[in-house]
Amino acid sequence: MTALAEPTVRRRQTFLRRFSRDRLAMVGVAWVVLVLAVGLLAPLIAPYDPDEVGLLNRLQPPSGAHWMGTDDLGRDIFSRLLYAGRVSMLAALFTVAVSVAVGLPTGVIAAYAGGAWDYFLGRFNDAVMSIPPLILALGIVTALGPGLMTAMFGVGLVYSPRIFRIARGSILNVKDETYIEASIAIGGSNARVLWRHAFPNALNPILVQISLMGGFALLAEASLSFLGVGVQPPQASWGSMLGRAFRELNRNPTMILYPGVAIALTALAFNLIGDGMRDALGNEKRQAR
Amino acid sequence: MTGMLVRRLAGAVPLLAIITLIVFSLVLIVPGDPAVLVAGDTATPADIAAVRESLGLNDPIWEQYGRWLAGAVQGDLGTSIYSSESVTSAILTALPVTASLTFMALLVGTVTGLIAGVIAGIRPDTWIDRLVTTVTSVGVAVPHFWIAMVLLAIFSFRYDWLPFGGYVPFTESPYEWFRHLILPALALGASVAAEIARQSRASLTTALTQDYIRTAEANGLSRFDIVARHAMKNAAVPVVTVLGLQFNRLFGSAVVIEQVFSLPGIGRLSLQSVFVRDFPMIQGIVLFAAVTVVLTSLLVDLSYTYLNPRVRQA
Repeated sequence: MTALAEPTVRRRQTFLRRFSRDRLAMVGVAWVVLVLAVGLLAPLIAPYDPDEVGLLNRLQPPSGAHWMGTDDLGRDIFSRLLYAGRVSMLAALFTVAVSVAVGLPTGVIAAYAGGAWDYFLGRFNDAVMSIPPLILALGIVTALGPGLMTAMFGVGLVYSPRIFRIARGSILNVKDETYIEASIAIGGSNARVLWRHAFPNALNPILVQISLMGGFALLAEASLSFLGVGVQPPQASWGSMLGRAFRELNRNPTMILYPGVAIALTALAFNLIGDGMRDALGNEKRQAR
Repeated sequence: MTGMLVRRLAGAVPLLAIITLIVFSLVLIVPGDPAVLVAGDTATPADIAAVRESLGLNDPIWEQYGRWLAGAVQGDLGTSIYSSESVTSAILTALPVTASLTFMALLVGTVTGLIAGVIAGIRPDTWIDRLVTTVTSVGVAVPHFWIAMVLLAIFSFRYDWLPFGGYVPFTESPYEWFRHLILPALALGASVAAEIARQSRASLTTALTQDYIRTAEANGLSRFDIVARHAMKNAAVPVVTVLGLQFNRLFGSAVVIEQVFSLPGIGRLSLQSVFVRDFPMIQGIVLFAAVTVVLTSLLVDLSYTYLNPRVRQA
């Protein structure tokens, strides 16, 4: 058994070595870790209570006391940005989790069971993919009601075909390999063959997709919260902070700067990680550089 | 060509059928009773019963679906619960706004994206290539509605050059139509430009390493002829694919841009329906959007046969 497992282990080591040499991807990892750490430690780092209203301090420019100034209710923007980052990252994580929870098992079933199962699950996912993501998410939010969890649940469902396709594809890739046949021949149960042999091979491409989806999810959360159907006040995310800043655009245009840059940098970081992983896998045709 | 068209149209039928099922089942995932939800907090039991009757919720689900589908096929998407307006006519009223916006965004995005991609693609690994690559990587990560706000802050609020919102129909004044749409189109088209630039750069650099390009060079063709007549046509296939995929995304992203610029398009209509739980309206919009996307991807597939004759035999 160990002899069979070895190639997978070796491949993973090559992957990690290549990935860790990709400087841009490492910058992405560092940024995501930083945002997560700052979000977790927000209560310790934030100089003010993010919800503390100070009507005498409204719309102040950046100063020593308020590094990024204050918003239209006199709340410290820097403190709010830290707490909002926590909400945005959690929302993105939840979205990706929903996509994986829906897309992965259905993709595995489609590939493994084949036949009618494969046909119907495949067509169903095609159908979901041909509906514009944000419009379908709005449809789901209409049914489930506005709110961060329902909105991101909707987005997770909308993006699940991406995971479905990759899971299905990678299982199909290895399904007819000799080692799978061998482990079925020596009496491995379906579950065991899937878990021990087929699944590890599907894992890496799924990780690439998860990372790229982190970026999509972050942007989707920002869009929906900006529109007011995602996070509800007094809770704030980067998207809803942008929504607030939009209303003050005429009086204080700098307010849009901080949450916008935070979203862009974090989405970029997820993309860099995803691109780096894809290059490190090396079994997809790499784009000419 | 005709045979392929018929085959592709036939292939789209099961897809459209499943789409209608998904759209219809949006009502089924409502937690609790949709009638209570639609009738509102102050409704009496009689109000709720009336709503249930008018929505046809007393009938078996398959009958409800059949009735809705039969209407939809004939272009009747039902009546808005909120405004009592016909859903189809509401969508058709809002359509020119969204169509103008997405058309302009695609145009702006494709032109700038292609120019940037070709400039970078014919000179790989130079400073200009690296500049284009960096700008495009950042471009796909920036939220488009943030770009919209930055443009608004500069061009409308700071300098007062362009209107900060609203829509003027093309038939009324093409000039004002353009002035009202240029900022939203730039914001929406930015990510299209980034994607197109990335894709056209990648496929052009690949195409330029092919044998037939070397043959063309050996035959003494000018650099311009090689790029414009030989490499570009082959590089176009993945670019057209990206364009088709972008259309799907644009339709959704337009919702946010329409909100920023107060454009009375389909996006605004769908957002209003979310808050008042206007199911017939949101279902009509989702279905309309999906059908538009399916038809567009059909067109994209057909364009391959022009760009790549080998597809014709397949």
